[in-house]
Formats: sequence, structure tokens, C-alpha cells
Amino acid sequence: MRFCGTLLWLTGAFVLSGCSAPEADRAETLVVYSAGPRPLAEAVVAAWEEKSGHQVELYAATTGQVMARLEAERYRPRADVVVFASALAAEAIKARGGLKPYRPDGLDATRSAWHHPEHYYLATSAALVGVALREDGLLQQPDWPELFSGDTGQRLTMPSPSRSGAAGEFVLAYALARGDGAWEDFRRIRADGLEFAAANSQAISGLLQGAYQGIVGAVDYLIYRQIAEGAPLRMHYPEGGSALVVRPIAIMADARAPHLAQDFVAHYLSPEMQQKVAEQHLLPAREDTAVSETRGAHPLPPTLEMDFAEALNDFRDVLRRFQIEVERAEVVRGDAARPDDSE
Amino acid sequence: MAPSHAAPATGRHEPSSAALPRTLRTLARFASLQTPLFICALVLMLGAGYPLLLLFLQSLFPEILGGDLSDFLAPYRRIAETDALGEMIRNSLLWAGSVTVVSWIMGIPCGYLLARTNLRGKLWARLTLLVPIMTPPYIAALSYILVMQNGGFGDMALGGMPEAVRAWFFSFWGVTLVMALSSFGYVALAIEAALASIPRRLEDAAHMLGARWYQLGLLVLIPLLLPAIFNSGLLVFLEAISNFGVPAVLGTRSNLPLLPAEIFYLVTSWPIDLALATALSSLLCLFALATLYVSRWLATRAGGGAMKTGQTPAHALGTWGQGLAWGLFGLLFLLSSVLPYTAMLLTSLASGWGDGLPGLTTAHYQAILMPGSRGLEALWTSLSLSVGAATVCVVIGGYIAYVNMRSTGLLRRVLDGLAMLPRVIPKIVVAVGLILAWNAPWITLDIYNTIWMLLLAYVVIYITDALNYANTTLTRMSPNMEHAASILGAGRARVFISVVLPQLRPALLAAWLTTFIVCMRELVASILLLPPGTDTTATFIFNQFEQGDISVAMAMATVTILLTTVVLVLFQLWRRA
Repeated sequence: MRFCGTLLWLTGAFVLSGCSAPEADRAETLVVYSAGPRPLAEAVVAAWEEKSGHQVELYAATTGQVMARLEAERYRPRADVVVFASALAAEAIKARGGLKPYRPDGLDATRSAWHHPEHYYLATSAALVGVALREDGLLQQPDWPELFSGDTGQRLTMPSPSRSGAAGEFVLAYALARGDGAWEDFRRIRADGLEFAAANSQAISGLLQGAYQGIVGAVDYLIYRQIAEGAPLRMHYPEGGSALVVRPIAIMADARAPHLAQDFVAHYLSPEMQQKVAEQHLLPAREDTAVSETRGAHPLPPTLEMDFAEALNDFRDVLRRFQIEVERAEVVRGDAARPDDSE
Repeated sequence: MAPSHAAPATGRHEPSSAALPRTLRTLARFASLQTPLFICALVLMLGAGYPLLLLFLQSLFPEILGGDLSDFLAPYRRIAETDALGEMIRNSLLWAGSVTVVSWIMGIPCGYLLARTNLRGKLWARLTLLVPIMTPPYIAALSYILVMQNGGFGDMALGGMPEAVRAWFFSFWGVTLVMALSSFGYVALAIEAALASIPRRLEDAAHMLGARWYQLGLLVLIPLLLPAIFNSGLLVFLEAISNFGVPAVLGTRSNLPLLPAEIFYLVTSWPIDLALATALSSLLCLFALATLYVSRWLATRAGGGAMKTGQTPAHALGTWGQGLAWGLFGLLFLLSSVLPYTAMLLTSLASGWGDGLPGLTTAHYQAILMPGSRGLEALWTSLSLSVGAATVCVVIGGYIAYVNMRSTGLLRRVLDGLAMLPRVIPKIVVAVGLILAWNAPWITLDIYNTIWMLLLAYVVIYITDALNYANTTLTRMSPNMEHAASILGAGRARVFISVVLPQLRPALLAAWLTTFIVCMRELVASILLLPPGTDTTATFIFNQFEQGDISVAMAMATVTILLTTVVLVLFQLWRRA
């Protein structure tokens, strides 16, 4: 028994010493959760650490992982700053009272329409979700009616909306903009042979290999990244409107280092960091920051408008309905099936 | 926490023992005797009982962690109201059932051939059954996708596979086949073992009385084998219903949503739905427990009873018989091992996919084994986690098994039940429970989202295996030696370390090896509990397949399988030496 007791005490002491250490220097440390491209998050964090002299505990992951962690830590929050890959995600945390508003100086230089009106979250950048096509493909400048006609004769794919946040937001925006007509469109394009890829990268590699001629619901900065590397692809924004996916930054209501958090937010919107954003082929939030060469400085194409607070209520239902009625629907290929389709 | 239970009792006992009434003294003595049992129960409660209880409570009261008891049963109501969810649950049960039946169809003849005939090269035949058991199902599923997909190896070999075959494969039955191929070996080996212990007299008698082969099978053999059939079926069913890899890899491809994969997506992809995930997890848990009890009940009803084993002369097979028997083993081996392993190796070695056969390259292996690469990091993480988890499992498991074996009473039964839990309960449910448990507002340890969480999960999930290994030896071990040591003045710890451990050593070593191997390939707990930016080999393979380079994924799969095989072979050699 004495042996066991000693063992337990030792274990206890070990565990306690292991955990109290980070607790002590917490005041110096900023905890940042970031969804989206990891290299970007790391670069921004490294620059801030150098500038401010403080430490950052960075958690870079997918939107799903970041949201899962925020959900799990709901009653025990740890994060100070969160960078979301979607305004809907930020809205979800704001709706449960998890965010604190902040308006840094110099916000006028940014696109104010992308921010939350009361500054609960601020856009750091944005991407557009449209259609990615092969350069040698037959589709030239298709608008949604043509793509959804069920008669394109092309092999199309879409990143699964329940797995790719951008594709999910596109489906939501389209469904909200078109109402019931959208569901007919979705079913028609599915019956035409639209396939679902597990993630953006799977859809893109399918497009590169020629397995598909187009990605519906492609997030543009990933496509521009391929184009910059010489891939024969092009990004197309249909006349009917693309989905604008902003990437907001927000300060958590229970942030333990609020001043550092505010400094970090201002830092993310600084011209230098916005330059790093643009290098990822994202649309920077600052209007005075040049976009990447591959993307090219074009005026913003038409977008599908959506009110995030309202859209949040429908998000889960729309995604589930899409999953059931479209994604997992039995594909009964009608006349659309051509002999060359099946090879 | 453990000493706090023991301390008041012993504290009361020592200083004023003379003054205390007898009853109290007896009580204190009882407490001190039961202390090891208490410690063990606490470890298991904390590890497995507490997360599962919290999971179940949260599924009933979604807001309970915030101290709010509203929305009672809301997630269950949603399950009842959403048709698609009900269908998915039915599909999962149906699928696990189909996997069991297909495994029986494949496994029972193999078991019979091994036990009752003079099949040539039985050692090799048995080996063909062991290889698929050792192959992680998700790797088999990934490899099958490589064979069957558009432009896959199937197309290359056949010059275009018939669309009907492809459509059949990427459907309910294809997913069933892949899972059954990785589990029929259990059935075959269980049937062989059962037949070996059933004397042939009954069959001979029936034969002499003029029974035909089908009468013999239906009226004599199957009833005798029922317990073995049920038990192996139970194993397969539990494995299938809780398997995550095959549904996640192949099920999603085949539009066949199955429970474990759904729970995973509810927990990890935005929008997160923890309430629904806990409710589905609780249901999954319920199905697993129900299966266990029903099949136990059936097995006792059908019970063949113990029989004396006799010499069982083998049933002679003719040339045709030998050929047919080996044809069966060969076909199953081809489907369960040769095909997936070939696809895996070829993909890991292929450089670029053009027309015709690709060239060979070791670039993918270099990519994962390069110093500083993520692949090497994943390998290292897996290795250290598996070694750590196996060691902890064996130490704690061995101690618990020992305490359990040498105790009696109510606590022991509780302990028995608790230790069984993680084995029966699907791993994904344990993982979801652990997330809740170690994130609760009252937990001050920052263990969630650290690598320690995974170590804890592995230990909780796999400690039962260590327990079982130790148990088998312990049941044969007489307590006389321990009593002798005790009489000669050795304390409890001394008895355990110097008397019990040496006797348990072979069993514990085997337990260590098994735990090490299963941890090396563990997917679902790892993928749910790993901190981001960290990979184990399994999550590396899964992520590379989903988001990256399939060749790299397959190179890692090859390395992992080679590594575990090498460890296994080295261990066998060392034990023989």
C-alpha cells in the first residue's frame, strides 16, 4: 500500500508541476486559434511575436476543428483571439455571447461592408466561391442556369459542402438566394452526374488529372495557387453571383489578455500583414493592398448577398437537406448519360 | 484521489484502535483490505465510467455542462423526427448484420477444413487467415478504392472494368465485402478451435446411421457449433458496428452513411452538433451492449456443454477435395490480402500516372522518412505513444487483474463490469466521452488537446486486452506462493513485484505486444483527440488520402505494416531464444 501511495503522490506531483508552469506565465501569452491556411497564420503570428515581444500559443486547424474546440471549451474558454474561415462561424460564436467588439484605428482603410456592423468581428480577408474550369474545357463563360441545366455534358464535381466550409457557404448562399428553385437546380445537376469530393484538394486534383472538367463551388484562392504554379486552370465567376466568404478575426469575450488581443487584431489589419494575405491569393481587407498578380486587380464580380445572422439559423438545415436530397441521392442518370460519360 | 478514500479509514484505525468498538475496527480492517480494489475501481471509474456517464447525461440534457437541465431529450427527439437519421441507424445495424453473415459464410467452411480434414499445409492456410486480421480495415478499404475506382488498377488490368461491377462495389454490398474480408478470419479460427474440442463421435454416429452430408451439417455440426458461431459472430458484429475506418473511407464514397462516420463528422466538421453526436453515440453504445447480452443469452440457450476431447482422425480429402479447399483459401487470400497489398505497394512506388504502367520510384518513401518531415514525425509520435500506452496498460492492467482475481464481493463484480466496458463500447463513443469529460468546467488540468489525452484514450480503450491476458494466466496460478511470501513478512507491494509479476511475465509481454500493435494503427480515437498539427501514422494516412497525396499515404501504410511485422517477428524470435 505504501508503495502505491508513493506512486500516486509522485504521479500527482508530476502532473501538477507539469500544469502549473504554463499557468504562471499566461499573462505574457496570447492564445490564437486560426482556421485557414496554416503558413499564413504562422507568418502573421511570427511577425507579431517579434514586434510585440510576447509569446503566442497558436492553434491552426480547419474550421471544423477550431469550432469543435471552441464548442468543447464553451464553459472553459481558453482562446483570446480567433480567426475564422467564415463569417457564419464567427456569427455562431457571437450569437451565444462569446465575442467582444473592438474597433481598431485605421479601420477606414478596409472594406467596411465585410465587417460586423458593430465590430464584433472584422474581416481580415475574403475569398470568392465560384467555378473552376480547365483551360481546355468546353464550358466558356457558363452562368448558373447553364451549369444547373442538367445538360452540360461535362463531368463536374463539388467539394462536399458538409466537409468544405467554402462549398457549404456557397450552397447556403445559393439556396437562400434562389429559394425552392435552388433545390431543383441541385437535384438536376446531381442527376447530370455531379460528383462530390471529400475536400477541396481532392476536387482540385481530380480537375488537374482531367477526371473532371469543372468544380462547382471552388474557392478561388486555392485555384489561383494552382494557376500560379502553372496549372492549366481558370477561375470563373458566373454572372448570377458568387459567394463571398470573408475570414473574420474576433476577440473572445473571456479573453485573458484583452490588450494583447486588440494589438494582434490591429496587427493583422496592418499593411504588412495584409500583404502576406494577398500573397496567398486571398482578397485583402485593406483596399490599398494590391491583390496577387495571378488574381489580377479586377472589380469585385457580382456576389450572392446573405445576412449572416439570419443565415445561421438555416445553415444546419440547409446542409442536412443538401446531404440527404442531393449528395446522397440515388443517381438515376436519365437521357443525360452519354456513352463517353461512363469511361 | 485514491488515498483520500483509504486515509480516513486507516487513520481511524491506528491511533485509537483499542478504544474503538469492535465494529469500527472490523470496518477499518475491511477498508484496508479492500484498498487495492478501491484504487482499481477508481482508476477504471475515472478512465471509462466517468466519460461514459457524462456522455450519456449530455445526450439527455444537452446543456448540462452549463448547469442547465432544459431541452430534456431534445437530441433524441430530433433523431426520431428526422427520417434520414432513422434510416442511417437502420442501415448501420443492417450493415453490421450483413458483415457478420458474410463472415460466417466465408469463415465457417475454412474453420471446418482446418479442424476436420487432412488439408495439406494447414500452417500456411492458417497464415492466410491471420494476414487479413492483422491488416487494419481502413488500409484494406483505401487499397480497394485504388483497385476499383475510375482509372484504378482494376481498369488497368482489365482494360476497363464493367460499370455494373464498379457500381456494385461502391454500394452497400461492396462495403460489406471489404469489412467481412477483414474479419472472417476470427470466425474461421473460432470454429476451428471449437471443432477441435468437440469429439467426432457424434458425427460418426450420425454418419453410420445413414445421415447425408447436409443432414450432418444442419442437424449435428451446426447445433454443436452454435456457441462458437454466436461468439465469433458477436465479435464480428461489434467490430463492424463500431468500425470507423471502413465507413469513413469507403462508406462516404459509396453514399452509405454509417453511425461511427456520422458521429465523427458531427464532432469535427462545421457546423458542430455535439448534442446529436452524444445521442447517436449513446444509441451506438446501447446497440453494442444489447448485442452482447442477446448473444450471450443465445449462446447459453444453445450451449453445447463441455465434452471430452478425443482423438479426431482427419477426414480424408481427395485430390479434388484438396484442390477445392485450397481454391477457397486461395480465393479468400487473394481478395483479402493479395489484392489490397499489391495496390498499396504499387501506389506507394508509382511515379506519376500517365497512360499505361507508371514508373517506379522511392520518392514517396523518402518524403515520409526524410529527417524533419511530417511523416517521420507521425511515425515517431505513433511509436512513442504506442510504447507508452502499451507499458501503462500492462502495468495497470496486470495489477488490476491481479487484485480482481484475489478479491471477492460486490466491488469485484463492479470492477469486472467496468473493465469490460471499453472493450464492448465502440471506440468512437469512448473518444467523444473523453472529449466531454476532460473539457468539463470542473477540470483544471489542461490535458485536452495535448498528446497526453491520446495516451489516456489508448490506455482506457486497450487496458481490457492487457487485463484479459493477465486473467488467463492468473486463473491457473495458485495463491499459495503469495500466501507463503506474506507469511514470511513480505508486504503487498513486495508480494506483487517479487512473486506475482515474474509469473505473469509471459502473459504481460504478449499483452504488451498486442497493445503496441493495435495502438500503432489506431485511427478513430487518434483522429478525434490529437492536437492539431500532430499526426499519428493512422491519421497521417487518412489525411493524406483525403487531402493530399495518395502515394504518400500508401507509403506510410507500407512502412507501418512493415514496422509492426518486424516487431512481431523479432519478438517471436526473442521469445524462442
